[in-house]
Amino acid sequence: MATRRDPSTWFDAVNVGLLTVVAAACLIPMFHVTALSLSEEGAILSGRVGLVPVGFQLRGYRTVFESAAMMRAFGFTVYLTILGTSVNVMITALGAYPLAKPDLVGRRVIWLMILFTMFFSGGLIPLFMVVRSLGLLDTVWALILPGTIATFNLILMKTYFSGIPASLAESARMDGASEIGILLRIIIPLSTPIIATLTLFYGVGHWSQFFQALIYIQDPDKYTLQLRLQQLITEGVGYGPTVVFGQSDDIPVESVKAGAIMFVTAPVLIAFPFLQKHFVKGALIGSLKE
Amino acid sequence: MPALTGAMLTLAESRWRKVVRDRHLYLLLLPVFAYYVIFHFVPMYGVVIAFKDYNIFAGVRGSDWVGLENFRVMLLNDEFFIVLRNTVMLNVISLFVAFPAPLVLALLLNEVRNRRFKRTVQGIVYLPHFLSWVVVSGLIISVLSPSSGLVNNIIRSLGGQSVYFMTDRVWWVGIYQLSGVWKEVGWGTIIYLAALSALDPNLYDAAMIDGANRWQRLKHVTLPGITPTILVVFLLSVGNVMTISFDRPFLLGNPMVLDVADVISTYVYRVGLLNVDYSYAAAVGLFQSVVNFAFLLTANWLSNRIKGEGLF
Repeated sequence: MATRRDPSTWFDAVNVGLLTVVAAACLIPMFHVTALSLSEEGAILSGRVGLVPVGFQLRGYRTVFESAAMMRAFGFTVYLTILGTSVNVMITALGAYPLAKPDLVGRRVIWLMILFTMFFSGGLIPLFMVVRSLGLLDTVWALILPGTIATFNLILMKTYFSGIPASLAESARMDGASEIGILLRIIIPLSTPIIATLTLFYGVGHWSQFFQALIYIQDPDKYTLQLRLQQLITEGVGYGPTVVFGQSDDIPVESVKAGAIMFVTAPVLIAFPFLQKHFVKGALIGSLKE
Repeated sequence: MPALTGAMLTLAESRWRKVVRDRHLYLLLLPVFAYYVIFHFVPMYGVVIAFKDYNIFAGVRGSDWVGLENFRVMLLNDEFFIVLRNTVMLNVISLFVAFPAPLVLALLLNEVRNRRFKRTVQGIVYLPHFLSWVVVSGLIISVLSPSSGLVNNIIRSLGGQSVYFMTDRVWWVGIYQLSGVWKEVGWGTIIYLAALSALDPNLYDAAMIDGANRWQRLKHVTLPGITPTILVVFLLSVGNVMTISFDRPFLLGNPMVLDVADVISTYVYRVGLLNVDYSYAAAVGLFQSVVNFAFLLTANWLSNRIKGEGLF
């Protein structure tokens, strides 16, 4: 870029300083809560914990890991995330492939119908009634099927598929390959970047599921981790821990809450660095083409 | 006109031949089609219960029509006007706070020369986008806690008194805005950075030869170049003026601030699903969808009139 030839000015110093503050502001809440999760209860309650643990202990985490309710929710959420993401990515690919074909008869009408759903919806209540009448309440499918395709992700994938040379599919068709064969053996292997991106988007979406679990799930065995975390941290003092742990008497409540927040966040933090390069590329495909 | 009819016939025929040729592609589309019909278009039809007195035993079709009765009740309800006011107020403030923030951050990032520094900052600011609102609200409530939170610890060590951020209505609105900026500002820069990287470097060279300083280059090259992108983001925000997703106000809110934190989505959840007043809640939901759609179309029309471009 041409600006590189500028002499270094005070502006650059201020800019770097500002951006450092912004980046720090993104991380500090997580450092603080991590410090809380490792601190002794008395130090937390007297307001002595900043960014470093005071009176180091692991009871907060031990309480979380020993809680049957939290572990049950963890197992169910892992199951939901794997099953749900597989369904999402597969069905999105099934939609993106035919719709990326420029001469498909009716493509325009179908596409406009799909885009229309981005700007107009029937609202929560009619959707709830559909899910209920299909008998999906209290099943994992209530958390998966209503969000099978995120239209934005469908746009990303269709855009990516449109960029794959049509001649590849054509020559396979000449050799007698079926459409599903072309999709599986030619298109999908060429599309790992977009599949990685959508796996991340959908996967994080399932891991974060709260509202759908709140409205569709009554059975505590199918509570998601986010729902359990919400009960723990935002229900009234003492009441939340009782709901989750069955009692709250000898529990270091503050470090348990902080520990539970970090426990729920940890998988995202661990996966983030590996997936980062994919999602930026994926998001760019969408924004450039839109 | 036999020739014309013939041409039309062959056109229809070739279209039909294409459909037959692509029959397997339509088969692949079937589950996609089923999804959009069942979970988008059936609910759009299901919204007719807003004009009925829904009775769970009679079903959607068997329930009695009541015309606009549910909307009349809605417009006479004080509670509805409070949630309407809160929804619009929080969104309008966001247009001044959360909308420009990613643009400013993107412009600052764009001026950074050290690539490694730029990439590190980008990586960090993208992260909060991937945290759930449950986690973000948990982090915010912890950091702002009057007894143990980092912010109040600092205020006290400077000799001040603890501030009850989450239960004070004015502070709460500020925290609500800030939480949105914290979570999405980094992610929001992606679209602007893409637009910035697509600008022609020759324009900058020319501007520099003409002696333009940094500010003049920003004003005369950069901003005009990314105006279409800014416009799209702005139109989408305007089109959502009636929408606040459920999680943020519900999770940050508490009984002390309900008269500013209660919005349409939390209201629909409460009257519809907790009080099982389906028809009335569906009417409120429909009002929301229609107003959003009208705002989007109006903003788009205005944008087309004034700038000659819009979303569609």
